[in-house]
Amino acid sequence: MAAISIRALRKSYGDVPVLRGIDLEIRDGEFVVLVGPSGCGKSTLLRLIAGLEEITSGEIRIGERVINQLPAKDRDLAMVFQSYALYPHMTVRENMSFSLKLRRMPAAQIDAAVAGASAKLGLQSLMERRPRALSGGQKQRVAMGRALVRDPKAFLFDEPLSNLDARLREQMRYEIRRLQRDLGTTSIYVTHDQIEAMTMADRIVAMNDGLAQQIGAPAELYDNPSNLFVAGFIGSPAINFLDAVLLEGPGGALVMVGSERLGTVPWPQGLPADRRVTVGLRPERIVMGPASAGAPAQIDLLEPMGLGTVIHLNLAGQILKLFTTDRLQEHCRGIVGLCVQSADILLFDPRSGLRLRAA
Amino acid sequence: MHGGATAEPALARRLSWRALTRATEPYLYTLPALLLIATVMMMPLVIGLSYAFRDITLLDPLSGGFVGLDHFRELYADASFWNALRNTVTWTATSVALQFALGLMLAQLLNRAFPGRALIQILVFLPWAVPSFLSGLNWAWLFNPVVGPLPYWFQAAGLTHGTDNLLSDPQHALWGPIIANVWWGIPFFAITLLAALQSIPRDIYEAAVMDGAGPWTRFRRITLPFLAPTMAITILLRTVWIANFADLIVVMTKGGPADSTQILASYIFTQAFQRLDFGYASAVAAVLVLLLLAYAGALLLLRRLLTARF
Amino acid sequence: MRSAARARGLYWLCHYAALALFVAFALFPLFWLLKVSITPNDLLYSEGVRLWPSHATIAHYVSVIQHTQFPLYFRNSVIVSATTALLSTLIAAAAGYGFSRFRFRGKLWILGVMLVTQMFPLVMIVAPIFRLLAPLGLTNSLSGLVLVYTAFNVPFASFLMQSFFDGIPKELEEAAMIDGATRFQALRWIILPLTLPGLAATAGFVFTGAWSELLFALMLNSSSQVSTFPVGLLSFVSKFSVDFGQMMAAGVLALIPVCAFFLLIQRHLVQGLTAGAVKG
Repeated sequence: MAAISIRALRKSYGDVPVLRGIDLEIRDGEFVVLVGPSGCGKSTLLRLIAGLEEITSGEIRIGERVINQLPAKDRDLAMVFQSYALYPHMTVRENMSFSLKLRRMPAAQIDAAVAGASAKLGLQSLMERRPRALSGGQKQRVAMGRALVRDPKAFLFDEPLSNLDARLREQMRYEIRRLQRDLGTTSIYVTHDQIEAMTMADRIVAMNDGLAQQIGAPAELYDNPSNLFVAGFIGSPAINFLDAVLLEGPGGALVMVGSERLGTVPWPQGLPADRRVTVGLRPERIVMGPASAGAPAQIDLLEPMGLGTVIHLNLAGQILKLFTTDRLQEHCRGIVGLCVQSADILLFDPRSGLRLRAA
Repeated sequence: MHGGATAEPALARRLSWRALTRATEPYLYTLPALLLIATVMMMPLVIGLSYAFRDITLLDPLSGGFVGLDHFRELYADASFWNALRNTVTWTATSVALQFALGLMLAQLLNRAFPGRALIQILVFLPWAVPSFLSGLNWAWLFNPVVGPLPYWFQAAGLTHGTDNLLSDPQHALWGPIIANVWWGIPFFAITLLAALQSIPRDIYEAAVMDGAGPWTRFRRITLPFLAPTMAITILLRTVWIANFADLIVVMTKGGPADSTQILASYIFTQAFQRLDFGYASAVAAVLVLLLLAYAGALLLLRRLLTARF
Repeated sequence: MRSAARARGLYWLCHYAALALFVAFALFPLFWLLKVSITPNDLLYSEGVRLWPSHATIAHYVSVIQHTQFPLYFRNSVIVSATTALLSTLIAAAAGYGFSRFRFRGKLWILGVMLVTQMFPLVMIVAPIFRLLAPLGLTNSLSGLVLVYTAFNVPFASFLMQSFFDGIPKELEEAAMIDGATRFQALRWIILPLTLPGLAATAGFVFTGAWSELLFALMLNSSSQVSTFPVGLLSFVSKFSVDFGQMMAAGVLALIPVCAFFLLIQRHLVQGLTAGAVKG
């Protein structure tokens, strides 16, 4: 059980920078998710914490102790790999006992620890099997059991659910989270799936291009993204990005998409000189009404999804999507009016990608 | 956790020791191999090459002096040397070509599952286990009309007039060692080619069949291009190795009759151990090594040019 | 439909016929060796071309085992080949592991040197090696041969072991190291058990190579006390060039260990080369 502190961490392979300065303070018992697209550096960051790679510069602490030079075997961290990395020639029981045997724990104690972990994960009937006789989900559990048995300072998860099918993934998400909550162990979880991030994390670190783009609670990243990347990455269906211009208006700035008025917002700070902005609109925040009631848009395509419907619209030549749980008429066509609340219109600088907030 | 200010110096010392061991780890694993090779192979190689420039005649107490390029001049004028060079090319080219072609055929045959494959595989790879010179002796005996059947079968098949030993015919003697070499070498090619064939994804063949490609087209357009890069280095190594491979010839014909089966490698052997002229032998060997290096370099260059085009 | 079935039948016929030819080509010389070795001397010339003697005998084998020095030669070969196989495999496993798992400076150079060692005629270094070993008392000894053979085999054996190690995912060592193992412990407990087939295959390969080696056995050891069997067989051939029965019997005897070894490991060898190939 420990807090983990990462300061100014950089990693390069030769001349190629992979991590360009990460600062992160993880509280004891927290479940932190590192999320981002392939190549953003999240797995590298996890491996640096684990001690599987060398740090180029910066510092990692566990508790008060700087562990930069500490080899992986002495860091007292447990890792669950994407490919599970179970020892193929050992039974489940031997897989789980291996680390304790290395520590020369007495046999009785090892058995007790293994029994406890396998009970928590429902592995009792599998103990004498070899990995090749296990299903994907079972291998997953054994990998977690191997980590659990050690009672480490922190758990590290490297995309553990990527190899499972959708149903299994849902179930394992719940189980991992529940387990972690019961144990209270600090956990760092890497994934490229933003749904996993949103549903499991206490805090999310959204990473792109070797930097932490935003760190915060899921709701914070959803409601208040700090740049284009975070806004576009978090949320499903994906956010709409539209080109717009701000004009003088009564009560604030008018957001103009083409020649259509989308809404009014308070004047933001740091507006570019030509007043061109990128507008972010979440599909579920747009309300659809009769054509006269809002910005007029042409319905292009309907995608029923069971839970709701995604409607593809054309607003002044730009495509956007709307999500609604209302049941619509099959032959819903033609022009509709779009309304958005002022707080749901997110403004971004088109060049830097940074969020523009009100003064 | 623990580790306050007082523990720092000891900790720092321990940690830098760890960093040192981490940096030297790879060298520790590879060191025994390197040491062995350096002392037993590389050093003697350099010394051996130096003999090319010295007069080293065993049993001649006055030898050992530096003679510069004398051996190379002698070599240039030596008809036996050029003969041996020609034979080396024939020997190497024919052996490699036959081994590769037949090995590929065999690999293709073994590439599909069929009843009895495991057993047939064992039987057909068995020649590899036979010591090379025993293979040479064995085939020498097969060609010997006293105890072997081949001279009689050749005559019965109309290939020859009498039942003479093939190995005593200067025109065709080289075929004896070549056949022995091919017999012994097919399994190696077959195994490596089989491994390479099995790594070609099935889907590609299936797609080609859907597109209407017949077996010969599939072979030409899919199998060969896929095999080519994998095989380049293997063929290169085998060619070099076969060029250096004198055992069979020494055992079967000793380079005769009338030097018709003498290759550079066996010529070096006879110069060294019959004339006891290690200096000259080393010079010939140096030339051989140079030629092989040039060949290797040319092949690698060719490969780079070809792959760059794609 | 019927013509398709007939075409397929024809295909398999050709397939098996071709394979039969290959098998016959592969086995015939060995068969002939066996045949002559059990042909009594009086029938040797008269029944030269028969496929099986009218009267079989084991007299040649008895003579070889009891009246020649072959048992000694055989014993020497076993000692040298087995020791070489053991040493080479260990050293090559370490080196192969190093090449497989680490990126380090000079790796390319080292690989290049190993490649070069495969490229020159070994005849060139007979004299220098002789001069190297003589003052150390390693000429005319089995240990000298073991040393030389190990050095010759280590490059290719390392390459083989590297392919086998490449076939094992790095994550397994990483998992072991996170579990608290040093790299060496991970190698010992996790990786090595998984490369047992590879170790066996490499050992078998080296054994076969050492067993067959003629040149250095001939040149470095002159006393018959420490001659290996290839040397023995060659001297046999020059001394008794007409006693084919005995020579072939000796040849068959010499084949037994290597063929046995080969049969044991051939599956793993193919597997190992395949694994390496798949990885590229």
